[in-house]
Amino acid sequence: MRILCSSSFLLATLLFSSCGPSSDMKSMLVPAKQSHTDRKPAPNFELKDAEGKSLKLSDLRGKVVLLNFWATWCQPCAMEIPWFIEFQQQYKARGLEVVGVSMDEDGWTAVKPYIARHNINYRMVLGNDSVSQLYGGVDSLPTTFLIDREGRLAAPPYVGLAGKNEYLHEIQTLLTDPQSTTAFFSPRLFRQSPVASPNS
Amino acid sequence: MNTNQPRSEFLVPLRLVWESGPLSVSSIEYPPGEELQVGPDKLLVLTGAFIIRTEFKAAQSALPGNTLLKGKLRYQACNEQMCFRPATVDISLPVTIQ
Repeated sequence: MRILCSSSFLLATLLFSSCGPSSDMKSMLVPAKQSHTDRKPAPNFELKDAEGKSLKLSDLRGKVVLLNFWATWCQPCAMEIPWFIEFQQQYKARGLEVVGVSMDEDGWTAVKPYIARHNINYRMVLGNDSVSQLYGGVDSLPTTFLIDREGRLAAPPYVGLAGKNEYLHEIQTLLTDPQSTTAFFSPRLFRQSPVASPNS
Repeated sequence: MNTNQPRSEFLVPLRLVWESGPLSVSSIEYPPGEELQVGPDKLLVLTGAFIIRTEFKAAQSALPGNTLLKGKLRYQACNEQMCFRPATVDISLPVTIQ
């Protein structure tokens, strides 16, 4: 039996193109000046945490919430996690609540060992497509939202790895004066150009 | 994107899987990747265009004629700033068995 006339073997060479660094992204500067009255309510959700307890976002009303969509396979997410651990330690008493929303398809099997290895000290829930849709789809990770004490989105999301000081400035502003106008620019908001047509 | 042997168990490896058909897979050869420093870690990644080679073997019982080999490529891509969810693309390869 022969394949392709001459050989009993077929050597299939498949050429793929990967996503090169930033090559398919377009930076988009978003004017994000949002007055207190312009802020929109953060979509509510109810998800289970690592201990099986239910977490409702609306239960955190009165606190400033840093809501971080992430996954264990996301290296830029891993770079932010130590900052969030530090924020949680430093600002919890003043009313900050960091909440991680894992988008891992493997669920707690992947996430629990990660939490243990990185000594994550804030609440973690498992996300799903319904919740990500509520927050605009969350096509890329990390994506982080800051929510004011009245349960409103305080600024556009940080999409992609942001600077620690950017978070810090925003958190301190929200903790100090929840009625203040949030005026900042998010230079790290990107629009994705698809490189393939994934079917899952 | 990650190579087929990323350095952390948390990362999603590149994986090509062919469906069973008239040809059996003898080997799949992935590109080795290159080191990329991301934060404190050195990752093994693929950037730009790359090639995956598959060697097939025909069974004695395979019938001559045209056929379409089908497979799936699982990958997970990032840049320095962000990652995209793991995805799977369908692969198809027309071959002629004579």
